[in-house]
Amino acid sequence: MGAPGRNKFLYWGFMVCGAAGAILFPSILTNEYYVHLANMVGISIILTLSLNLVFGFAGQISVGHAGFYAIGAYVFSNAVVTWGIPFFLSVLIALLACATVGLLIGLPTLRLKGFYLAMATLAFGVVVFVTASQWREFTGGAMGFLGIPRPTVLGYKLATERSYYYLILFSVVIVFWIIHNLRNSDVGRSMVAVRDSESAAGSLGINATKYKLMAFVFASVFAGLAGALYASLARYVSPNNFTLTLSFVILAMVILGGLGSNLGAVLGGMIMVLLPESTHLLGKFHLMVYSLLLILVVIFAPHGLMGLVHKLAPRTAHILMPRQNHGPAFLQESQAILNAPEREVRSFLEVRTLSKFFGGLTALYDVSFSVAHGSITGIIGPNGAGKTTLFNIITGVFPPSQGKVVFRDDPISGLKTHMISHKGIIRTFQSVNLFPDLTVHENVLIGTHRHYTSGVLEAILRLPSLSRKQALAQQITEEVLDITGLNDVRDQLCRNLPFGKQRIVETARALAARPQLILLDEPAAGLASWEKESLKRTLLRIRDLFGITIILIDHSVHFVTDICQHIIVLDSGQLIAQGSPKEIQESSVVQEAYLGKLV
Amino acid sequence: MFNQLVVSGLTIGSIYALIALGFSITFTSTKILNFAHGEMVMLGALLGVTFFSVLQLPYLVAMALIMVLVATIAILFERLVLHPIMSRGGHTHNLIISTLAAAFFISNAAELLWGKDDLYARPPFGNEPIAFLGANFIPQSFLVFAVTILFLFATWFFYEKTMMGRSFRAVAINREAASLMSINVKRVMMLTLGLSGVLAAVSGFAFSPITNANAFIGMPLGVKGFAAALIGGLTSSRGSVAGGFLLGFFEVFCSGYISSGYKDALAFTALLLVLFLKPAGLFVSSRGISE
Repeated sequence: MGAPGRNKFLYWGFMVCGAAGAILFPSILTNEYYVHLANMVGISIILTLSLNLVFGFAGQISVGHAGFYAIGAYVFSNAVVTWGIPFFLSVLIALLACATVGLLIGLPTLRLKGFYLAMATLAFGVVVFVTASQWREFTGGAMGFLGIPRPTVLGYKLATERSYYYLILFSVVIVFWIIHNLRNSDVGRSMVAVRDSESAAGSLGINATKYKLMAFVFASVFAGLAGALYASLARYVSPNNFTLTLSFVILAMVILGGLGSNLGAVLGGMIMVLLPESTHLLGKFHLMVYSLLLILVVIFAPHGLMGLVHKLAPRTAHILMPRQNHGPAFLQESQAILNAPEREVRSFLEVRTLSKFFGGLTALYDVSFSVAHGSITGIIGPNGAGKTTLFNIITGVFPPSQGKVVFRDDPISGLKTHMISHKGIIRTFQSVNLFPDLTVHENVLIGTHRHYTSGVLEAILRLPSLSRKQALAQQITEEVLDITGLNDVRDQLCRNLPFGKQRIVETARALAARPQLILLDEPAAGLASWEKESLKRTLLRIRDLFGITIILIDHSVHFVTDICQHIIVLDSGQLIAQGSPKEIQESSVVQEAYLGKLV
Repeated sequence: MFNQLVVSGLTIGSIYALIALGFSITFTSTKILNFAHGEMVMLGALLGVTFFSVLQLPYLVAMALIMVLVATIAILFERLVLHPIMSRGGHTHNLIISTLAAAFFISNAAELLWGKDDLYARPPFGNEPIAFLGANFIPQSFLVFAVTILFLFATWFFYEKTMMGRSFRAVAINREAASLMSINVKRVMMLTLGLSGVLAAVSGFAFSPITNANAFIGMPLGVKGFAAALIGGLTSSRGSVAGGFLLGFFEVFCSGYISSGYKDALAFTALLLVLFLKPAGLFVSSRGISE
């Protein structure tokens, strides 16, 4: 057996030991207080895991996470005490309430970014806290809510903390499992894609709003679960359990553990409870210590403790986080998708009298042209000619001021970016727009989103249909990595690649989307001459192999004339010439635009 | 009742306006929303208790000392925390988190130094109510208003009329261009933090006799000033000041006519509505807002 086999063995060994430890834990320790701490650790872990889902994976900061914790706790307490609903049904009601609030808050909030999002979530946390202190009928006000019961499971009442521990352990495992599965499906990959670059994600057909909202709602529900579990554990809740400070501490722990790492979140959840406990000296200072720690982590180790593990002991990290093993490839099915019969269309792509004005600025004026299926079309023009604007309009980044774009007989102007990419148009960007914290392989894999979108349930439960889809996506990814010659860097993070390679990854990712039309915005810019040659060959190959139509923008007339059948010349937003490369090279209008008028 | 509420609105509004102005000038120059800004206000209030109420220093001397001290802390924060993060790429999330962390750090430190309890802040002109427009007011209300107007004017004067202030504005408008014009951008950022510290300290010092002071008033006041700045328009100092007064009136009238317990919740609900409907702020045109 080679190293991977041994690592797998170690991984499972680690997991089994961890599980056994967690299960036997209460029987080993006689001190009730430690059991209580273990219960608190479990609840903290659910909180950190859930925040890591929305902040670490989907990249949406939340400074009011304790708000959902509170809503879960209070709704559950009311359901089970005031309304007399059975225990587990009450938990369910609490979760539904959190999902609803998460949806209502997330829908408008997630349009915000950065500081504004932080502020909005913080305000949400404060509103919940104030409401908890004031709405006496529902929350008991500052006095708190008393008399919350413990559940009975299979006829056995979990009256002691020792028995309740198993309910918490079970919940932690379920939450971990769900979040882990989400992360390792295309649902999770799409969330990460949105985090790293919303525009690139949109260009690959990923609906950013949907995935941000999904992460937010899931995080709210899990925080609500933690709230319900806490209420029943403590049998009493008061607004002081849900302060802004708690929201901050959860955030701090997620970052300390390692943003975007589930194991890091677990670690953070443990530290959150155990650090103030372990040193009584900390007592009064614990917020200062947290804050200082957090600032140091942000400055010196932005990837947190898990990042340090990666750096100091890469082998251990590898054992703890093995690469996913993807099942056998289904070659035939993937071929079937590629060879799907083409729908008969009258015209492939038609741009009709397109104009775009930004305020008083005319970026494009009355541009019309058409593109034949299976051709390579080049767009050239000096800086500011409107080339990228044209791409932005075709891909729905903004709507045209006048005119329209018709793709395969369907008008597409006015649709959102991700919808247009689902129609089969995929683009690359002028300045490289990759997901920098994902590997080359994962970047290309996300490209297949358009064809292999899994449902949430599929992802969480790991249904067989999911692994079939994953295998197909995997197959396409392998093919694309082969064609573009990226196999030797497949496991490197994109941020570490040289610029030329990054450009090729972006093209590869677009290819993995299996588009009918691919728009390449200066694919050759910044490439060395030998890289340009190999890019030319790749482009011709993908056209011939897959029948993908290509439109590309470039400054270099030579690059364009070498591989394009048709060239469009833009200048100051207007189409000044189009035709075959020979016609363009001889056109006096073009020479004038490029070289200036001969006096 | 109405007149009473108007004066209270002006008093609270002027404090929010000063805090909001601090947020606004920091944000325009550094693109950072400083979550620790409220803690500078708290420090202003508590240092005021020490210098003016306990040590009995003259009012203006105490104020000058507080301004210098808090500005120094703000500058240290910029040098030791914000600057290292910015020079490592300055991801927005890291800046949010570190300013939040600084806020909790300062508040915890103040708790250790001054304790948990409310401290009495001595009003320089006593607590004898003055009858005015058919209602009674404590002199401090007028002092707060006067100090605010003075510092709003001074800030305006600095930014509009002095060479140094112009260089600050240049950095706010276009960092690269300013740096090409041989303006020291790093220095401007550092001094901007110091200036916002001064504004925060003054507002805390002036306001404390009305509510008394403790180590925990920073976050609520900061978040309020923050909300005011966002409501008015963070990118515009005038908008932020207007937002401060607007929020002050909104809050005072809400607690006067609806419920005082919910006044924070109502203020933040108003903020959330503004963020959802017009994220650029009420008094700023909607273009050009991203982060």
